[in-house]
Order: sequence, then structure tokens, then C-alpha cells
Amino acid sequence: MNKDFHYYGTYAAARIAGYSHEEALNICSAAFLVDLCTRSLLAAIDGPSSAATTQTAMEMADARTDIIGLQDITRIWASFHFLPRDLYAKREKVSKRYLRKYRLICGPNGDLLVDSINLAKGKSLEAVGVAMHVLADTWAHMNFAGTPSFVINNTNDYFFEITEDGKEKPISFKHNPMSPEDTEKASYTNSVKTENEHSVMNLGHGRAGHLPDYSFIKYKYLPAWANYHEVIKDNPSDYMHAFWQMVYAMRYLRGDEKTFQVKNYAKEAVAPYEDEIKAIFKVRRTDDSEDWIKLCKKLSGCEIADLDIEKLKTEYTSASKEEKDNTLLGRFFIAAMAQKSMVTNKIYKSGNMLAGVSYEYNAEKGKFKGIKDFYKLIVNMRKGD
Amino acid sequence: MSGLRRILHIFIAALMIFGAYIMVASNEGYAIIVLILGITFMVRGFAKIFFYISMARFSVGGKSILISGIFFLDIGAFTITLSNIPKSFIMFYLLGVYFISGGILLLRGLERKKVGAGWKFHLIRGLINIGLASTCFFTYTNFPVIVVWLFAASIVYSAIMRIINALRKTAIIYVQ
Repeated sequence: MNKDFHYYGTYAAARIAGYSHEEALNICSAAFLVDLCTRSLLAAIDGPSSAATTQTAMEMADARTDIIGLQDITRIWASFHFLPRDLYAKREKVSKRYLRKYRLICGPNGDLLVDSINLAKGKSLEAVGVAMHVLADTWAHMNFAGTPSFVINNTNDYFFEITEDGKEKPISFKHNPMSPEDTEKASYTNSVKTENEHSVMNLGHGRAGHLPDYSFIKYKYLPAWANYHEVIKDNPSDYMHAFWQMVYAMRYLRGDEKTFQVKNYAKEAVAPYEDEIKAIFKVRRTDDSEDWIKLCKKLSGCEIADLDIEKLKTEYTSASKEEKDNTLLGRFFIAAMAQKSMVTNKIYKSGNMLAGVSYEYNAEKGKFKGIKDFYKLIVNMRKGD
Repeated sequence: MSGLRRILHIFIAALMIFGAYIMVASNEGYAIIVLILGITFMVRGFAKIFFYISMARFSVGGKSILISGIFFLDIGAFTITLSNIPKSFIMFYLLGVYFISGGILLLRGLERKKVGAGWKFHLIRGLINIGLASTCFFTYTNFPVIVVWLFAASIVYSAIMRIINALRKTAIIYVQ
């Protein structure tokens, strides 16, 4: 998903769930920061490198694709943008190596989603924002995996848009990222086909371009893992489900729901705005921010300020060492590292090494191992105690 | 990375450094490079065919892996059988690698500069790569041995990076 949903859509969902304007702004800022927090940004403000939640195209081109590089890529993308649906999925007559990748396929309503939401319970608003980004992307990015893999993430030319009257319109792709997308002619950009299993071109939904991030389109295609069976992706429906589920999740995080369970949606709470939201999803354009802003203003009566990343960076860099973790970015970094740590642990415990090694911290022994950035989580835990 | 894998990486790095030394010390530097390239292509070919059988048989686009595997196997075998490969072949291969990696590093440096992160290191590395490639291109006719030195240097650099990565802390702690 893009900024329109992660920032403005999350704000709208937070307001409907019952958060105040200021709280909703913190939540939606954190939700959108997940798409901005690169190693380059962290290096600029001397932030913890392990809090990276995304990578730029250049960072990925520069990334090593040896085992450590691949684990690093997987940790970032599987933790925040392609949360695996079922780490214990079964598939017959495949090798263990294939199964490890197959189990990282993203999808909504998985156990890891429950873990991600519960991780944010009782934590900062920024943790709520991170969880909402992760939740939303499980709907948009389903059927792709957050690890470079030709055999999971590849596609071919078989892409057809399914229009409202049921007709099928062929979709064409080009590889020039500078050329604009043409939604009327169904001409989009995707990554170049490369047979290298570990190439970053085969990461996530690169081979399907930005189609998963456009709310208006319903299409069918052949994912690499589906044995040449068609998969239909209905973005208007999926985005609506994501919105319903975000409201339900945030009601739980606020304490208005007792538990968070999968396949539950806050349809009644959203009902007064459902037609407007569905209308936003149906407009044939790549950025719905304008309409979301109108809806957000209608919901709260306030202007929704755009995210000012420079202001956040200044706040972080000018804070003293003790106060950094109390800034918005500081709280976001802790939430991001907690999410990454949890997902890596779950993947590791399922017997899958694609996200690397994870150690469970033993508070009695108090021994710390591994990447030192994560020591912040222990400090934060002790503060909570 | 597990302990055993770390040891294996360090062992491979040591072999690479030894191989680079042999390449430079012997008079058959070019022949060694051709042998390495040929074996690399053949191994890649075998790996692709094995990959097709174990992973990509039923994947969309999988057949092209089988075809390219057979292609690399053939190219590798052909390369090894050549007794007198033109030196320019090896030079252009190296030039390509260094120009592309130099270009990517320059772009990374500019990207980091845009966000205010440290950028000089990437810029300098990029310029060094492009400088090395240019030096190679303009001087190899008079000093053909420079290609062998460059090839050996790139192997040593890869070996050092392998050792550094083998010794890095990579585990993540999970706090419940």
C-alpha cells in the first residue's frame, strides 16, 4: 500500500476506532514511517541501524545476497511488509528448501498477525502505527513473500484486469521505473525477470509492479508457487477488509474489545463511512490522498498535517541521549525493533533459517547476545518493570 | 550464522587468498583466470539444473532456468577447452563488473548525500572501482599483467569481506 492508505487511511481508521486527533496523528505517522525508515535515514540521524523497516532501490542493489545479506533482507521485508500467513504450511512433494520459502508467503489473518497486534498492546502509539502498517500490508501484498525468491515471487505475462462488468483486459508491463504508470491503457512498470533465485528483482511483489498497491484494480495472474493456477486479486475488497480489520484491531488495542481474533471486522463502526471509503477505493488513480484528506477532515474537523520528516529528525537529533527514546522517532525505532525481533524469533522457532538466528532473552541470567542495537529492547523492558 | 558455517567461510576465504597468490606468482595467470571462469560457469550450470529439479520444476518461468543451466554448462566446458582465449575477453568481463559496481556505489553515495547520511565512503569506493576499470582499459595492451593483478585483487577483497561477515554478530535477541 502507498502513503494514501498508510497515512490518511490509518488516521481515518484510528479516529473511527476512538482515538483522539493527536493520537491518530502519532499512529498514522508511525504507520507511514515504516515506508520511510531506511538505513540511509538512520545513518543521517545516528539512529539504530537495526531499526530499518524498508530499503531503497539503491540499498537493495548494493545489498549482499550471501546468507547474511539475505537474512537481513528477509528480516526487514517479512517483518513489516510481507508478514507470513502460516509458518507451518504444508505442501507435498517439495524439498525442505522450497518449503522454507513457501512458508514465508504473506497473507491476512495468520497467527503472526495476532502476535503483531498483541505485541502492540499496552505499548506506545507508534507501536500501534507499526502494527497497522503490517496488518494493512497483509491484505495488499498477499501471495508474495518478503524474501528474494524466483520460485515464489516470479510471474509471467499472464496478467488480466477484471473490469466491473466482468470483462478481461490484458495488462502490459514495462521495466523503466521513470516512466509513469498508465491506468487507462493498463500499462504498468515491474521488475526485470531474472532467474537468480536470490536476486532482489525477485523480492516481494516486484514482478507484479505496483498493482498490489492500487486500490482500484481487480486482476488475475499466475504466481510462481501456484502450479499454473490462476489467482484473482480483488484489491477493492481486500482494501475494505484491511480497513475494517484495522478499526477492529485499534478498538482492541484501546481496550474496547476483549481479544483480537482473526477474521473479525468492525463493519458496524465503519458503516456510516463505508460508501465514501468504497468510492475512494474505486477511483482509477494511483494516489487517493486528496479524497482521504477530505474524509479525514470530515471525521475530525481538523486539518491533517502532512508528515514532516525533517521536523521529526530534528527533534530526534537535538534530544539528549536520555531523551531520544521519548521522541516520536525514538519510540518508533523501539516498536520497529520489537516487531522485527518477534517475527525473526517466530520464523527461527519454526525451523526456518531464512530470517537468521534468534536468541530468547533470559531475564534471570541477564546475558545479552547478538546485534547490540537490540539491547534497547531490554532497557525498554526494564523501564516498563 | 552457525559456528560451523563461520569456519567454512573463513576456510573458503583462505583458499581464495591462496588462489589469488598463485595467480599472481605464476606465469600462467591468464590461464588460471580462464580456468576459474570456466569452472565457475560449469558449476553455475550444474547448480541451475539442480535448482530446476529441486525447486523450480513447477514454478512459473521455471523452464528457462533449465535452459540457462544447460547454456552455462556448455559455455563453461567450452571456455575450459579453449587453449588460447583472447585476453580482451577477460578484460571486458572485469571492466563490466567494476564499472557496474562502481556506478551503483556512486548512486548509493548520492542517495545518502540527499538524506544527509555519510556519503564520502561510497563515493570514494565507486570512484576507485571506475578508476581501476579505466586504468585496466587504457593500459592493458602495454601491461597485460595488470588484468591478472586486478582479478587477483578482487578475489582478495571478496575473501576479506567473507571473513568480516563470518565474524560479524548477526543474531537478534527476542525479549518476551
